[in-house]
Amino acid sequence: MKCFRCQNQDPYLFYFDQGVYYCRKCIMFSRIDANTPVKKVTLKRKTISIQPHLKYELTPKQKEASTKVCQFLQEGKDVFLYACTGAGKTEITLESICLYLSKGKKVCFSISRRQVVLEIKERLQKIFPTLQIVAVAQGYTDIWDGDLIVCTMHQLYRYPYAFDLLILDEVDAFPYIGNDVLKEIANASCIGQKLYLSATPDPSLLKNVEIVTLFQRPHGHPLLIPKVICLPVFLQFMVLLYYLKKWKNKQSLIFVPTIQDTHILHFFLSFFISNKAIHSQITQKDQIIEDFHQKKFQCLISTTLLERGITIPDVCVLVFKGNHSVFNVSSLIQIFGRVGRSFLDPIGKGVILCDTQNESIKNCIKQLKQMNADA
Amino acid sequence: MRYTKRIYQKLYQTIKTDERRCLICNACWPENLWDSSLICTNCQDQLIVHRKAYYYRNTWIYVLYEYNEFLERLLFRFKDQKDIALYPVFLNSYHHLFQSIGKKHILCVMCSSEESRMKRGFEPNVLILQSYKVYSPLYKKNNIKQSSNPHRENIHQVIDRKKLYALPHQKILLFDDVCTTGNTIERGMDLLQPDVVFLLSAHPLWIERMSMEKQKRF
Repeated sequence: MKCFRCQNQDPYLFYFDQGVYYCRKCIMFSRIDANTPVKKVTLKRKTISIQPHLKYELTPKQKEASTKVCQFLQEGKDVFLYACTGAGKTEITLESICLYLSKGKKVCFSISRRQVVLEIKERLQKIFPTLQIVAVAQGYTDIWDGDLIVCTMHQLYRYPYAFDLLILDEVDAFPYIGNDVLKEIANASCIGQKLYLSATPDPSLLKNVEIVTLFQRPHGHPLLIPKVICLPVFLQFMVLLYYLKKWKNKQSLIFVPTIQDTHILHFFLSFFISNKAIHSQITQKDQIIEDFHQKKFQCLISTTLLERGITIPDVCVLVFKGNHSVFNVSSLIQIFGRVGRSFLDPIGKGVILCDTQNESIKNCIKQLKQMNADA
Repeated sequence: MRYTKRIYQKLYQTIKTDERRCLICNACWPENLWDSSLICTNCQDQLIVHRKAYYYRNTWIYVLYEYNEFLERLLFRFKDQKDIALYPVFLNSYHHLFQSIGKKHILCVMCSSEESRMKRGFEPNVLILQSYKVYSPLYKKNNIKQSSNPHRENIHQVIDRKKLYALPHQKILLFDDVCTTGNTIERGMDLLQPDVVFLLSAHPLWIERMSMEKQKRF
């Protein structure tokens, strides 16, 4: 007995109903019977010759990485683009996207989080104004075919055997990492090559792929090495406030480990600074992020929800209770990757507040220093 | 068909391991934990047990869970994604409570529309109460889903009682899985005059509305 969508063969994960067994492992993507082949989805295929409209030119290192990626893909190999945060991973994929579209092939850009899907869609739409780019995510599922598809990884179940180039961003993060079902669904949706992107790859992801690295940001400045301040929690509140007052001319992102902490900090800071809290259970996330982009308030308190993919120019970052187990190495690297992306403030500011320096904090700083050395 | 099913199930038993796993998340059961529950502690923690009854319109309405995102997803998986293996998890370890409330009653369930029933291949409320004798004396005239209906108060035009459906002359316990605004269950109460109502889950806003009524724990 086998599920042809998630490749499940564990008898425990099948259940008998109405004369057939169905797979319970991938049931969240709709019910599929055991031993039933998944039907190929039919999408429009057009040959599109297009060039990206960028306001800036790619740096020589970005161009080199982009050419290498294209070469490997043309050789039919899967590629892993291992680049530091803010190195311009999305821009490096543009040449490959154009190449595939010019051959009438289907391309999909898949990302783990919904907010990032919407942001990348906007960015790509500005770069390719004539392309019909569709975002497919929760709440955006009415139109799901276009010249270029940007979707969450969960939405890939809609596209069995559909894509010639599947770009998977942030593959080291939840929900892709360690999720066999998503991995199989991504595999099933791709009939050509896969291009993985990450700043903090898991060693298991680097097997059977060609690796292209880039550890230099476009402005050429090194990555920020955050300042670590060890304090009891009640003093962390005071130091946090001190830094927010010190950086009052800039917007700040505060990362906290739990939803409850967002409420506590929001209450505490509302006496001093304009702020809002965001976490997975808030319904008007898009509006809050939009307001933050428009600088309607100074400080945004977030769980790890915003650790990846979000680009806010000229932002300072603080991590509260930084030694909490939620903040692992890749999470911290991603968080401080939000800093120093702007050409106006290429260095930025970042602080980790913690009880004690744990292994994650030490390794984060070690890896950031290593990336700066390799750049 | 019955024999084919038996053969299938015999074959299945030969390959299926007899380890216990959580019916929701499929996590393996900890070796040192003996528990008759069907779901792991992690999934149990995500269900908000309410266990309160409200005296409303001369009827006690028993509410087992508070409706939350987890339960919403679980019911979606059960009803819309047709994961019928989940049917025992809803009453799970509260069967004894349900039995004590409805021991002198006949069990009637709120209905689904014919279209939903055809699409699903089962009636969710009947399946949840599979181990009991259940009656379904109501029907929906059309396929309006209450959660997406902007005119929820017009439910009396949608749900009606079946004409040729006799019920034993006993007190009625009316069962429904979700109560959001209360319109559906009130329509059921109008039609059947139940002695008690048992709701698997109720929306926090409905619970808040009921907070002014007489209430008890069960």
